[in-house]
Amino acid sequence: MKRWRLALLIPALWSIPSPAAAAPTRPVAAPQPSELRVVPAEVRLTSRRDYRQVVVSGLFGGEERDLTQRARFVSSDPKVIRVVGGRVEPAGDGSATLAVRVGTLTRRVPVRVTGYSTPDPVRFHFETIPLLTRQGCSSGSCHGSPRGRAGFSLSLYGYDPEIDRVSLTRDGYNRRINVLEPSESLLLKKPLLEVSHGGGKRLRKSDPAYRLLHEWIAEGATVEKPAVTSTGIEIAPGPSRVLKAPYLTQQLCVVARFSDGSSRDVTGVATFESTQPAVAVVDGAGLVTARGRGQAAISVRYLDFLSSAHITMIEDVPGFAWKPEPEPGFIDRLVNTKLRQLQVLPSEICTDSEFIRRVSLDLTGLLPQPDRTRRFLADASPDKRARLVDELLETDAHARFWALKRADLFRVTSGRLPNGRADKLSEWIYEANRTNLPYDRFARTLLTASGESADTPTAGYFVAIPTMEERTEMTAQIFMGSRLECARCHNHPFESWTMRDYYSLAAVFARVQVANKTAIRLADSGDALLPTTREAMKPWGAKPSDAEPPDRRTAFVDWLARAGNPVFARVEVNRMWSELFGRGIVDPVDDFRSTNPPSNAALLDALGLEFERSGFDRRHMLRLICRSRAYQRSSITHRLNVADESLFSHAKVRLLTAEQLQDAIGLTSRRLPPPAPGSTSADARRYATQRSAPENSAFTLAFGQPKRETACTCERSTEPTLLQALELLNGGTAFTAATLGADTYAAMTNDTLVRELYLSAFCRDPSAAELKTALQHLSASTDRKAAVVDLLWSIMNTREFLFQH
Amino acid sequence: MSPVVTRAAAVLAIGTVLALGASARSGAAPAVQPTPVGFLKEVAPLLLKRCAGCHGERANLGGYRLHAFQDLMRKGGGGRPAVTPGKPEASELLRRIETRDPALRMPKQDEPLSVSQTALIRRWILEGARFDGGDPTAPYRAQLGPREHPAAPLSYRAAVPALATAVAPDSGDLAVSGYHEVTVWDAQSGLLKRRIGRLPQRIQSLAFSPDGRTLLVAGGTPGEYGEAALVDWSSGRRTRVLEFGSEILLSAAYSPDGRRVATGGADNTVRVTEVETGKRLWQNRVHADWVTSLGFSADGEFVASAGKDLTVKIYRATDGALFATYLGHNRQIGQFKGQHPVYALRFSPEGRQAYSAGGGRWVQVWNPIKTRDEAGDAGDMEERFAKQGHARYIEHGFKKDVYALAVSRATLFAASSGGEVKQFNLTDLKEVRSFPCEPDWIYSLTLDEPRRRLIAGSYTGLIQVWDVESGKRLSEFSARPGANLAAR
Amino acid sequence: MDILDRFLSPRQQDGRRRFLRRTGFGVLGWSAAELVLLEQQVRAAGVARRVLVLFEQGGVSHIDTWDPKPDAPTEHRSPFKTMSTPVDGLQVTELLKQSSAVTRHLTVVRCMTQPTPGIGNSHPKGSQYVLSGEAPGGPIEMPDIGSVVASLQGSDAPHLPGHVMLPGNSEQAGVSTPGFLSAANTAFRTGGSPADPKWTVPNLGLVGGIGAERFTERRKLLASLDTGLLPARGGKPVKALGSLMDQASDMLTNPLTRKAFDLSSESSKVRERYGLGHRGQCYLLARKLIESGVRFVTVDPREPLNSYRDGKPVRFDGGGNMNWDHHDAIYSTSHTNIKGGGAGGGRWGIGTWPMMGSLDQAFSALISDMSDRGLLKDTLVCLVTEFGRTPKVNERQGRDHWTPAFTFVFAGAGVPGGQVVGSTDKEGGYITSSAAYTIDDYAATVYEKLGIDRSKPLHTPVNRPIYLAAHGRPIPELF
Repeated sequence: MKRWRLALLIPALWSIPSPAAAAPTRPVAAPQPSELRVVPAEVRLTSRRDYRQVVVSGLFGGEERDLTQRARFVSSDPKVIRVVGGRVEPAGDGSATLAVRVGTLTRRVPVRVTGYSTPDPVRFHFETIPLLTRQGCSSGSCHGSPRGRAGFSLSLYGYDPEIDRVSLTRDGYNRRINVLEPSESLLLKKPLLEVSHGGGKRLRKSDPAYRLLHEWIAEGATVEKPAVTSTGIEIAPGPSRVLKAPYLTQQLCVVARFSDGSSRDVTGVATFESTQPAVAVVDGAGLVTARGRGQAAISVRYLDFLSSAHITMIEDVPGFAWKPEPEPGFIDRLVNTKLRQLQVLPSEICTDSEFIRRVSLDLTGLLPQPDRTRRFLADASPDKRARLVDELLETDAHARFWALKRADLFRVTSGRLPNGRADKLSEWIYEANRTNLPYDRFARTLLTASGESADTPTAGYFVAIPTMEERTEMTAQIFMGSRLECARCHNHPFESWTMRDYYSLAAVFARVQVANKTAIRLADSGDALLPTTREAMKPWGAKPSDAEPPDRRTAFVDWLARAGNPVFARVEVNRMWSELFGRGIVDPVDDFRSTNPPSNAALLDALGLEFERSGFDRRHMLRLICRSRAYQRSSITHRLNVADESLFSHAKVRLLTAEQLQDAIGLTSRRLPPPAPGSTSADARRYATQRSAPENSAFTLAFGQPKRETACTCERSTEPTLLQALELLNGGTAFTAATLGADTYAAMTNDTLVRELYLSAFCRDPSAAELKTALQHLSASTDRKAAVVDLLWSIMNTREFLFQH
Repeated sequence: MSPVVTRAAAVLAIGTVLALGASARSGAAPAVQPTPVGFLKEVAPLLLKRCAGCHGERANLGGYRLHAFQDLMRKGGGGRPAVTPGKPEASELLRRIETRDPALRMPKQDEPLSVSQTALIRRWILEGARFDGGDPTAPYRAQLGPREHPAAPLSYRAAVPALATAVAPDSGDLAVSGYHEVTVWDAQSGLLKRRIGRLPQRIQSLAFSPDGRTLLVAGGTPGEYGEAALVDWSSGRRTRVLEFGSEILLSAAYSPDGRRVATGGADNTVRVTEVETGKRLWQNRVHADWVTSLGFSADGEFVASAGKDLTVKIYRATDGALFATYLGHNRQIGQFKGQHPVYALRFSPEGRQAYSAGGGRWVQVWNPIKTRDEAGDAGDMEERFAKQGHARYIEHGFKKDVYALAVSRATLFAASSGGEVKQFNLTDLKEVRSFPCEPDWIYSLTLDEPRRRLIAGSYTGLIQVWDVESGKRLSEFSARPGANLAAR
Repeated sequence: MDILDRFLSPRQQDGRRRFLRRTGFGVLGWSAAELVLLEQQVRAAGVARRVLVLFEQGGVSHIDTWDPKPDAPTEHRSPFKTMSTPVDGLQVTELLKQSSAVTRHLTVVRCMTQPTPGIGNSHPKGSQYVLSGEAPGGPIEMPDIGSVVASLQGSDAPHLPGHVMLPGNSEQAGVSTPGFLSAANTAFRTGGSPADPKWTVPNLGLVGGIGAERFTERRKLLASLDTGLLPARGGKPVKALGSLMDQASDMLTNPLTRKAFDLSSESSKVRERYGLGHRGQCYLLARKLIESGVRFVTVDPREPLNSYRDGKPVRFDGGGNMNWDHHDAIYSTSHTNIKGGGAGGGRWGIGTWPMMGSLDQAFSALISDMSDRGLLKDTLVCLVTEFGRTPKVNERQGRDHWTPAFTFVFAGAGVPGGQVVGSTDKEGGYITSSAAYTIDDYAATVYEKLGIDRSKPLHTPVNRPIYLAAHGRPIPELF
């Protein structure tokens, strides 16, 4: 169930069901690898219950493939070690050698076993708790939900061992554990379904999990305070792997590190989940099996740690042949590399008409003026698209339109920032865009602003976010691309964010106070307390040795906006990319986490580096992206890329945003004069895309204009609704525009009228058929005004008009 | 409903004979058995254990329920009944447990039934799928009768929590909950004096009859069985089972005259039974969660039950009519706000004063009549919550929940899950003393008034005994038969 | 068709085939995990296709209506006589004289209770509780039950919204919300009063004098020009908008849409039977919408100050807010605005026409009419309120909020008729039956009746799993 849910959550990774996946382990006479690799190179087992999963890879022409399922394992001394399916288990103290054989190649792994006869009771914190997560007991939809289920409550994914200790052993009058007869324990009988269990069958007696839980109970269900803490996990064989027939499986091994320097194989108690079961599935022992072409993340959870192995399944697509094409920059090179790997053929380059409409809407929010379109279409020079991009980036409209997007996220409303303060902050953002303020300075100025927001508009950022928690969550969402709110009350269910992280970040803002509801002051005291222990957290970014700084935010911004921070630059370029492509490389744009990997990691890395290298020059990045062939692809798909939604092989058709649509209707009906160069704010306010404050009219609300209540781009809904259809067909906005706009058009000759209308609405000439239909309509009517109104209305209701493509 | 079943069963009984004959001829089944399969004894436990988890009271996957006889004959989601008497082949139940198709075989994703189990069910269907119980609509769990309990282990590998304690009025011997038994100790020396075995697995509540001759034992097996039984104290024999059911009982109490017994537990229900006849006088299920603790008022007028659902319910003892609900543990606003489960309830030995506690910072002291009056008059509930009303609050100062209370005329004792025990003066509601204590959960507290001793039982099985006057610890020992054997 | 299909309703079968196609399992056979997934969808089918909720907002006095207490102390007793009904063991007060004739269709649940702290005194919270089926104040704002149902089960009549609130102009109608669901699932509120002969539903007519004919011509022109971006090119959103445009056009021009809202298409006999006033016509309109295929209709029929009675305009002087919140002068024969009164003014006495008078007539007419038309077979009708009223009359001769016990009434969709469930003590204060049901249980009942699997959570935009009526269990006596 869970896996399907995750799959819904992450539409990022696509898949194509593949017939080849039907028989994943079909024996095929495989070629001999040129080299054998075994992880780990040596094994040390320190107790009777210790074990180690070995991962075997073979090198085939430079490509690594998993051979764990095909290798033969031989123990040199069965009294010291046994091996089952690549899992080395101790049999007694001593040294031995594990021989791994594939074909004629052999690798030997030295193994040492110690502590075999020393007692090693099941460790509650490191084994019992992760097991309850693995069996699904402590998930958010079962006993991990805030009120638990059926009276039994666990901490979500075991974030609070104390809650779990009490729940399992003390609470409910000790009903869940039976130390004298362990198999009589409700904790076992319920998931075995020996007693009715709302959560259904969750355990079998043959499961290793059953044995371990049984053993823990039999040993007295003890909970020793651990002397060490777990410090992290490592997944072998590495962060990403490519699977291709006949090698369609991949064994994973998870090793946990502890604070005393020791480490232990936890493959048997870790939780594995595939984000895309249609691409790859994973079993409880960490064995991944590919099922279809595409990319999937296998998330691995152990205690607070969540990490992912990224699996790419490739196969030969019939009829696929890469067509070499120019790759003028790194963007095209990296996009194409991914497309070639997954055998997706990109679409052609879009037409000039499509380009000018697309890029104008993207960069300025507005349809281009007919004159500009005419000039552009007539221009025969090869660099005209690049020049158009440059020109648009310098416009006021661009600075204003992109300020609007930003103000949406900052929740800039007159309710939160009264008496003109909202406008001042909007104006500041616009000014930052206009002067192309480097993004690191942009962030620093906002995040360290203090004072009265009427005088220091940037202070409005924090004034608009009144509580420490909201500041933490919004700042993380906007600047770090992370949705942190889950970690306020428990460790994040899909990411490594812990409550400690949350409150450490919160500590940064603990002393930021709002005075008179309008000004930001720094208090001398105030802390963020970890709810479970009431411990005051060290602010994020501060070094342990640091004395209390005058402003905790400075250390945070130093950490955040430095070059080399893995999140800051990438989050912002990903946002820009998403605005231009209708989809982020990480998508949603504010949901960066290992279980939601970028659809093209190399591309995102390169963009991030370029952004840093340019001194966080946003205009430079927009220019680069808009000039790329990837951006200029047609939205017309073909058989070899129709299924692709995330690799940017073709343009995405998108409904215009509420503001774009309102302005497009105004401009097309010629009711709104095109913005003059250097127009003032007052002029600009006529346009919904150029206004600092959302209008929230019936029309814009119907089309998903956000009310600016959250920092989530998801607040702007993009799914077409019935309300929108009613608004278009029967709403006042389109109706009035068509009626009033008809006067201008009615004065033209029929032929000019139709051509002008097409140029305004679609940036193109009508086709012969379209021209004929329109002319017929106009000449057949007795009421010219009505005929023009109807034509305008029809054009503004076509899908070509309503969508960006 | 039942006439239909009966008729169908009768018709099919004839068919059964024919069918039996047929199978005997074909040699597929063994010769006609002398004793037919007993449904309640043999088949029902199997269905309960292997099927009813998904097809039972809580879930009816596929539209089938197998926890009550009547439901076996109903058409499920597949359009055919689970059991067609006399016709194994037409019975979906048998088809599903016998098939080799892993996609269809039941229990789903689980070990299959054994060959002998499958054969048993087949034979029962063939014999006409007869029901040998009472009410075909009632879950057969309730018709299986009280359980016969196994003997307690000779020695305990580990301690079990001392969930209940009681002091024999005459001898002063201490009865402690054990595993399938009650163990009897000399509270002073910690010596094991007797073992009263063949009792429910967990014992949650122990109480002596006013005459001291009978021990009321309540408990069960979590999640599947509950029982309240009377044990003859002198012989140590279970003389009568007053109540049994499908969830563990957590509390049982005698009326002051010893003629009635009230029980409550994890089935959220309160029941009152007449001791002499064993007749159920009434039952009431108004709690939304477990009944954790209950008792009679000293005048025998009221029964009150504390619940995990944050309330205490008060009933008329004669007929069980709900008299009032005490909501002091569930306040949104005001000085004494908080929402907490209630784990302990005691009435004062005289009068009608009630004491209740659980989560939160206070033991609450209140009166049923006044509770009702306050609940009945005020229109504005929020304001009413804000008012303290007649209730009084003893701030106990524990950091944890209160699981046990003991009350005498002037004194109240409370014990917490933090392993703290305190004494309070009921006149000024002030703390008198705190007893030195081992820090683990204390589940039970017994005041031995004649001997002025206070006895607490904890999670670790530790019994601690204090002198009430001095507050000194008189003794402590582990109520674990094996440990004492080992010590000796 | 294989064995599993036999467990599934046609709709589920459809879903399953889609699932098969999408995943390609149809060819490859089923893995155990998928079977489990499917198995969980296989549940006893619901028997309701539609739900009609009559939300009488303000807290109807149960003692004066469905749960009479003739033995209560005189000073607190209801002045309305207790009368028998054709159903054994069911008595009601004389205020339900007409309804008593339809009791053989009804299950009267007298053991409703609302134990959630913090909700008791609040009409907005209580109303939201009734509408959403969960006590408000949790971390997530729950959608209306109707919004959930509309989003999960869509509509049988695409030209009509899936969830309609009629007319939805009580002071509490604002708490109706699609919660975390998309705004598309917002209840469609008609507003106004259907008893007004001039009443129409805004937004259902074409704007600015565009006649249906011209609109159709426009659509034709649009169709011939809408060729620049073929649906094949834009994928899902382009196709979706296209079909939504068709649906919207249908709503705007389909005579059935207008007809569903057009009370004049009903015979005067039928209209009179419901009562030619605000409440009667609201109830009638609800029946029409149910008949037209709307999945979920909520009637919130607070009587307006300026209203209609017997088809003629009437003004209920002093009735500024005629819900059931009778804190003052509950037995007034006109308005309840008394000197020194508190929150109970602005109503009319419970026995007056705009209150129980119109309710009794409208409710009895609705039930018998729906029965005659066969609509009760698959429509669940629920008569609900936030809470009951105190057993004792207060010093202002009113009754205050009372959450420990109150009454809901159900009919249709397999609800046994002629049944009383639960009981309260002789003053109507507390439940004495072993059964007691909450508003969560009511919500669970509605979902279960519709065959909605509550074991499968919905998900919020940030993917938090949300279980429907998580704290409720279906009321067994209604099945």
